Amino acid sequence: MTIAMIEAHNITKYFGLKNKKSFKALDNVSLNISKGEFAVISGRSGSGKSTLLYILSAMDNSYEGTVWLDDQKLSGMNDRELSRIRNRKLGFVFQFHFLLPHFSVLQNVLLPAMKNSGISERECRGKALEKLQWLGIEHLADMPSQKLSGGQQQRVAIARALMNEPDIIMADEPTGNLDRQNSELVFQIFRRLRSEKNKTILVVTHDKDLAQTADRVIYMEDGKILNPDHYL
Amino acid sequence: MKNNLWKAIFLIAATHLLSRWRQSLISVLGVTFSIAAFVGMISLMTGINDFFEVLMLENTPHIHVYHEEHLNQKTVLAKVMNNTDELYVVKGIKPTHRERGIKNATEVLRLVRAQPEVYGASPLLSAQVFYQHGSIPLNGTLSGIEIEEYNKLFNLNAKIEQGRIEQLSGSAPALILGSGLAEKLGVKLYDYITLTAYNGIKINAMVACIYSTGVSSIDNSTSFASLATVQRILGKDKGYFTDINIRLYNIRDADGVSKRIQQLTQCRADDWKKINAEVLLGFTLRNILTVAVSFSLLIVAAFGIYNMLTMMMYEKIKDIAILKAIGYERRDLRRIFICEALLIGMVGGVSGIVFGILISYGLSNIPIQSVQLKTVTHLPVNFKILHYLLALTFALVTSFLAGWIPAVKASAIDPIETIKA
Ligand SMILES: Nc1ncnc2c1ncn2[C@@H]1O[C@H](COP(=O)(O)OP(=O)(O)OP(=O)(O)O)[C@@H](O)[C@H]1O
Ligand SMILES: [Mg+2]
Repeated sequence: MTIAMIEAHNITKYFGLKNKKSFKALDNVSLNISKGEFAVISGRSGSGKSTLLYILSAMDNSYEGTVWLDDQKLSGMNDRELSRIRNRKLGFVFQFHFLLPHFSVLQNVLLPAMKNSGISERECRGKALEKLQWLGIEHLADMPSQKLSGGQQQRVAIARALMNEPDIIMADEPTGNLDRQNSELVFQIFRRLRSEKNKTILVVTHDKDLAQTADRVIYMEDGKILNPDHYL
Repeated sequence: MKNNLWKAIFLIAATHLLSRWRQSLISVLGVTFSIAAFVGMISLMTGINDFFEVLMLENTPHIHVYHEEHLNQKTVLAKVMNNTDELYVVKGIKPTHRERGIKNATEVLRLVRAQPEVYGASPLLSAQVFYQHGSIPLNGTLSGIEIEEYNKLFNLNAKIEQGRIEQLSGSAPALILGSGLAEKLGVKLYDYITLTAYNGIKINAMVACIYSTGVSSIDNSTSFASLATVQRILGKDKGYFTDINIRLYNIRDADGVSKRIQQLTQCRADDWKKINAEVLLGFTLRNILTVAVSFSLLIVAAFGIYNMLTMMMYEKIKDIAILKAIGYERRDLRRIFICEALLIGMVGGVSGIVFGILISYGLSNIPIQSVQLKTVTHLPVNFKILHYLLALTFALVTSFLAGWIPAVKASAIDPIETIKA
């Protein structure tokens, strides 16, 4: 049995007030993702994939149930502690590459490290360049982020997510806005992250073909996981 | 390294402002304008205040001691009736035997001079007289003084235009004539003029000096003579005078010393604040004006900043969501927006101070002509570092307050809603 990196117990999430009109987006969901596993969440639109991912990524803390990342219990943490988790413990990649406009690629990648005390600026720069290099885009370091193509921007976003050496990478439809080639490239990067850096990866995607390249596919429907214990 | 975070905060704030540089510029100009106006106003107003203060303190004593005349409340009838409750009415009570002079004046003067805070005390006996040279008599005031002591306290020497005050020490009656008065009478140095007091006594006195204070109301009516001369013209003996003017080593003691003198001597003793009450009221009014105008301008500027940062918050909602998602805390986002506000305040404040100094410089070159005050040729303007620091503080405090609400709103933004959209 491998050690769990992401562990969720009986997560229930309501939208709106907890009365008749409120909507149950997650219904008693439990989930275990092992260390070094590349898991994909798939399912129909509105099934609660994003909702679950935001809870697991320490962005949403209004839910019932408990979440553990590695040895840290997210449930009950205050805003400050959750920020720390988002900064150090995990990196997040969005559907729209969400880089800060008017900032260079390097500055965007540096941002998480600037928040992380304990690293000197010189060290930060070295690390940022190393990440860009690993993703093959070090030549873009000084470009303004808006001038990059979608695929390039998404790779910069991945570099940013890797900046503080997190154990976990999460992504919500990271290829939703990309063409086939770039989508495959992004998934290839995720696989490399798993094999070369032993990261734990959790990605929401609609793309069935890409989903098959992961270690495991979790299917969701109506706020429930259909195959909680199914491993590929 | 904590300063990495501050660097990032500063960088993000500056980039936000530059990406919306037109709006930023307008907000900055709002601050610039109000701070410039503040600097200009406070420089001019305090300049005027200082000018009047110097003028006031040069010409007024720190404490003025005199015998207060008041109606004797107890009528003879009241004394006889021995304050019983019986009804009696005396209509039209008038004072009898008015005595202007200080009782035991010499003793009072000695007592006043014995106070340790007192730098000097100058006795004064003033009389209303007619000056006559030729046919036209002119009304005016003749102040009898101890020339040496008075000179020591009020630097009479500096105001003498012609002649030397030493010439008054002789026993023959001599005058220090106001320049305006000399002009009106058409007299020159060493001419003789006739002085007539209300009691009819006449004296011929030589014009030994001509002085000018620059305050025409004084120069046109007042002249000085030795105490003895005025005592003679009023038919009083030695040791009779009506006022004592006191200068202290430290003007701050005026209040306390005046009260003590009042107790010790049973004379009335007013400190300089009481003597110059209306001048001081002018100071207060100018200060209120400065504060009121600057405050309203600053409020307008603050609304500009508030508006702009609120717009900025909605516009940069994506940035805020990203920053939160990658681990920036609420307080970091608050700091970013406060930093933006302070940058506007800083740039606006510094440029406002520069413009304010230019305005002050311009004002100080505006020539003014005053019949009343001949010593001023231009608007009196202060150039003081303290005012500029004060202006900068105002700019920063105002922009901080203006940025607070947008900053708190920005820090409260829910990243999930923004990222989903
Ligand atoms: N803020 C909200 N208020 C009310 N209902 C919401 C809110 N956010 C999501 N929902 C509802 O919760 C359900 C799950 O939403 P979620 O975004 O998790 O779906 P999803 O599986 O990510 O869908 P998609 O594939 O389209 O992204 C949906 O029915 C949605 O309408
Ligand atoms: Mg979704």
